Amino acid sequence: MIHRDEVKKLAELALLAVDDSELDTLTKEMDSILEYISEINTFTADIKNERKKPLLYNVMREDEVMHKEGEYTERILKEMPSTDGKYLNVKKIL
Amino acid sequence: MIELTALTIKEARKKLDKGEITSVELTEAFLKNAKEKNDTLNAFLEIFDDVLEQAKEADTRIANGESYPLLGIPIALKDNLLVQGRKVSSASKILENYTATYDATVITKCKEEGAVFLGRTNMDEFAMGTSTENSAFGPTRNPIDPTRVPGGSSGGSAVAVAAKMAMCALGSDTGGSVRQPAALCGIVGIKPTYGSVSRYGLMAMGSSLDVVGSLAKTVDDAEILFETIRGWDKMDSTTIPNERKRIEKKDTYVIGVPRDFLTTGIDPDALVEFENALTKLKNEGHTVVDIELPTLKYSLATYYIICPAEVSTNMARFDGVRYGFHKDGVDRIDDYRQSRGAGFGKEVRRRILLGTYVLSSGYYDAFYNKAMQARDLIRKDVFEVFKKVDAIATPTTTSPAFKIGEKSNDPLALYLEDIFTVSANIIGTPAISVPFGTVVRDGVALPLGFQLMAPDLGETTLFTLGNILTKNIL
Repeated sequence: MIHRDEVKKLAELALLAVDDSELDTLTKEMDSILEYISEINTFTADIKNERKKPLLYNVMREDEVMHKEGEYTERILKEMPSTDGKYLNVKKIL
Repeated sequence: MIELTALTIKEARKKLDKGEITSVELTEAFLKNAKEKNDTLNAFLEIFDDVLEQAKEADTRIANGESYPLLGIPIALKDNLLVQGRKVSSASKILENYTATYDATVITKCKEEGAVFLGRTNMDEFAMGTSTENSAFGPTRNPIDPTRVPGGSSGGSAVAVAAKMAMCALGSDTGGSVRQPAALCGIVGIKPTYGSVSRYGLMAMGSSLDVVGSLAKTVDDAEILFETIRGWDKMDSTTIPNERKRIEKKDTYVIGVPRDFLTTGIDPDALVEFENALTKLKNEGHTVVDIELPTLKYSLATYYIICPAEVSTNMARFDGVRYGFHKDGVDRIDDYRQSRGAGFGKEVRRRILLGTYVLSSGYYDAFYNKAMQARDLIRKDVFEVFKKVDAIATPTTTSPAFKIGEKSNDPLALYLEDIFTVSANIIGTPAISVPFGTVVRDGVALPLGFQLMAPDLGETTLFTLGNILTKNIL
């Protein structure tokens, strides 16, 4: 159902480095799982499945700062792998 | 001399409030067990070093006349619940050295009541698993037979309670991760109604499926912990308003059994105990009827489409940029690939890839959309049945605890462990597993779980029936 190359492509989409040595096992495992979940194809939905009100809906709030300035900065900076003062260091973006 | 670790929360509360015992004494008793057994069982990833200070503080509050259900009670926390200033990792290398920057709402609630946090418990990495073998920090062992798994993903929490290393514990249940380990370890585990407990501060796995649940020795204890943590939370907009009416207690109940669903794959000895439990309910004056739920058989496939899809989204935040494990690649984007590839374990990567597949163009309709439709229809069918029954019963698992390593090379076999538990997560209804009966394997009596599922906000039904089933046993 799924080939090595497809798994490689998925890994690229998901930004996951997958070792070549793992690729064969991973492909086999995903193949058996996909075969199982493909059972969903035998499910025929009664297409009058319109729900009047969605079960979950977005809750909005005003786009305002809700906390005291700097209240969380220290804690968050501490977790960053590389900082420069209050700045997060990252590799070149452009 | 009473065995302090054998006390229930209710019993401990009475003694604490009367001054017969102190929280320090109670906590020390559990700490002793925890320190003695943890090297073998690996239930705790970390036993906090300030546990006795917390207990002393609780004792001060008790002396000042305060009384809350959890004041001074030692509890264990699954390693995916944020406690500000403490390490938390979802048993993953990608967060091995991460410190929580805020308290989860359930933690705030427990802190307000003065609970004593013993430590963080082992789990399958990012809650993905049914055996706690997927932890990046070694498996947890079943205290009843240490060659066997405790179940997962809240295996550490279940073992902490079962091995008397904590009075009760918090876990999370996305596809059965509180109920299944509770069943395999012989304790009570409840997955509340989706939205009845805040997910703020619970590391997200499947956001439409995750619920924080409680694990305890008795049904009453599980209920006490649930009552503390539940409630609407402005920080989690999927929580249910407190005004929504909950299902009230009844004198007699009708329990439905989906017979068609129980025809194959269940250990025959386990099935005998399941029938014994039904008989007990009948003897206590309740009615047991057969029900038909033909769409239930799609639950597992539906779950293993929706869950990985949501997992692939939720795991996207872990890229080694703002927090967590960072591994250098050749450029910025390669940093993400390397950090994620090395930081995530096998199961997490598998599910991310599965999720990416079912959400990718060309497959989205066939898998994800189909699964969402199935989800709606399963919910509709189950609620049709709930018009005639108060609860739906199945065994929690198909068999007792399996051996460590027995299924670890077969991801699909591990997924099939969830067959009876996922339905409640897909449709959002509450479900409980209570210990009922044992099965002897290799000379050891292994516990089994009996599962009941009720309609939304039907936790009282579950606690009432759970109490009936465990009467005279616990």
